[in-house]
Amino acid sequence: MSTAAPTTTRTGHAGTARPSWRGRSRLTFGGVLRSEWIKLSSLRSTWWSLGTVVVLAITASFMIANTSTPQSGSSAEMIHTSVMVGNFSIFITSLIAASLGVIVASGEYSTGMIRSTLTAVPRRLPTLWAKAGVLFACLFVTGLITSFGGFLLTQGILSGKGLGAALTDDGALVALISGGVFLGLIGMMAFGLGSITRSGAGGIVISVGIIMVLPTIVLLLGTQNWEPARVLMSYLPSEAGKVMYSTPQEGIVTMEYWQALLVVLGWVVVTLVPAAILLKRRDA
Amino acid sequence: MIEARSLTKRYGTKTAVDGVTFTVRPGKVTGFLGPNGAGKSTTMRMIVGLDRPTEGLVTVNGRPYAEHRSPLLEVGALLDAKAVHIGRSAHSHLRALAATHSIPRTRVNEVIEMTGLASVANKRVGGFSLGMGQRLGIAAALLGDPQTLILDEPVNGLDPDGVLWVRQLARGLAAEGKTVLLSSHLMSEMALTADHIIVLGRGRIIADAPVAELVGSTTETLVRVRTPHVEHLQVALAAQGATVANNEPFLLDVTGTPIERIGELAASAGVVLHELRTITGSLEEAYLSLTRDDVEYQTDAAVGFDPRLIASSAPVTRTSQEEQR
Repeated sequence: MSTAAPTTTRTGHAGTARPSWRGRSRLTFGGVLRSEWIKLSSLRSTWWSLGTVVVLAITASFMIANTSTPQSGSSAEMIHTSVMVGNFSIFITSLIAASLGVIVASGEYSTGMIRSTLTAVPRRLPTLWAKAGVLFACLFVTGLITSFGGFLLTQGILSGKGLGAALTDDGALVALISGGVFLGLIGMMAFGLGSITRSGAGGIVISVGIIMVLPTIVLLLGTQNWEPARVLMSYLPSEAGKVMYSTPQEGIVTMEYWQALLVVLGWVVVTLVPAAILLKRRDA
Repeated sequence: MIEARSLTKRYGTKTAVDGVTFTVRPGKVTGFLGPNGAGKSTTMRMIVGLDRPTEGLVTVNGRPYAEHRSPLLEVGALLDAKAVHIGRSAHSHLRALAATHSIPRTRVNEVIEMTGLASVANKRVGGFSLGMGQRLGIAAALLGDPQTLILDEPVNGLDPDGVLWVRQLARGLAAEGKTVLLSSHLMSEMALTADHIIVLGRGRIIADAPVAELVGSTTETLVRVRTPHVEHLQVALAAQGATVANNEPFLLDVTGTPIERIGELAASAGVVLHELRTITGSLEEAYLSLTRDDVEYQTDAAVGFDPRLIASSAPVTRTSQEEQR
């Protein structure tokens, strides 16, 4: 059935002008990053999640600021309380961050988008790093908004009670920035879990298990005078996170800041590395 | 140019693709045919690296797909019209894919125009009809203005205008010297679109030939004669050694004699003819006879089904397979 008899091969193409953009277009990591940003920002669920985090966090900060009462009146207590008010809701918003992280990965599989993604980036790993990076950036910025917002907006209430503090006070800045860092890292950990399970429900259940259920179990074990519970507790991301985004209360230092950061980073690595290996090996 | 060498894919104990070797050449539309489960989609997925071959190798333009610097500019693939996040608009979907290769927005708008999606480009894909989704998949495949196009069931769900458009698109791209690999279950459409056919059955290649050759070698050409003087002509033809079948009143199906010779015979015998035409086998006929033994999911109706019965309403006995073609 040689109707059109297309005998022209390469020469035929030279006749039709090559579009000018072809020479400049190439697969780059920067391009993959931009692509992942377009993907994340073009979904309503992203904005709903992040919006919920902000509203929830700021509201919670005001509520907790209203009920805070001074105990010792020391400057450490003032800083601790102000930072705690700013970062109060992280234990809840980190669950939303985790859900978003899982869905960023699992959504590609449930919709089939992953096949388009991996056809565009057949080496695959750049998409994983780019997704993790874009997700971290979004959650980090959102965390900064809630931590600094919660801290600064409630200062009027807190200073009225003699619990006010300034950003320049000892450790305040680091703890507030750490609120954003922690939210971003938890999102990345959950993203790894979502990539491994490829399932929204599965990934979210495991994430919530690690963030909320594990600490409760370890706490219960601790009440049975089981000694390793205390050590175990400090290796959980939610507990290590608390060290990162709080300033120490008088006398109580469970862990150094860098140790806590390493623990949380460890959880990210432990989920992202298998995610990377599996992404490379499995059929899409 | 797509080259597959001993390409094999096993899922556990099931072999989906069993050591296939073929070449898809530029400047032609190559049709990829086979029953459901024959391994067409798996083969196409291996070409772009979505599935990893258990054995063997497949290259596009000389190297494995993933090793190209700009994969989207080499190959455009429509493997699954549903490879889109339903919460995203068509425009955002294409822009995200384009961004990976820094393909400009103007090109995104171009493929939206080309595929007739302009009016729905900002709507979420979740609400798209099958045909709209298909158009979006084709738009994504065209995005990088690739040298090679792989389209799995591109006309699935398209309206007649869309079907015609895909045919013209495929033929046009091949005429530009591009490589086009296309799968479809619509045989009539494939016959109009493809130059070359690869038939897969149970993971193996059953046939790999130009369309005309494939149809010619598996079906037979006959000449249909309608005449009020059947007996008269029958005698004259038999004297020439032609095989004649008379299945309906006033109708003869003749094989083994060229149409010109039959006309001359009728004239010299003084026989009136009401119809004289060549009936060539169809691609559908060729395909069904090739794959009859390789249908994975055979229906009761298809068991013992003889494609010739429907293909030309003429249950002529056609046994000689390799009649000079």
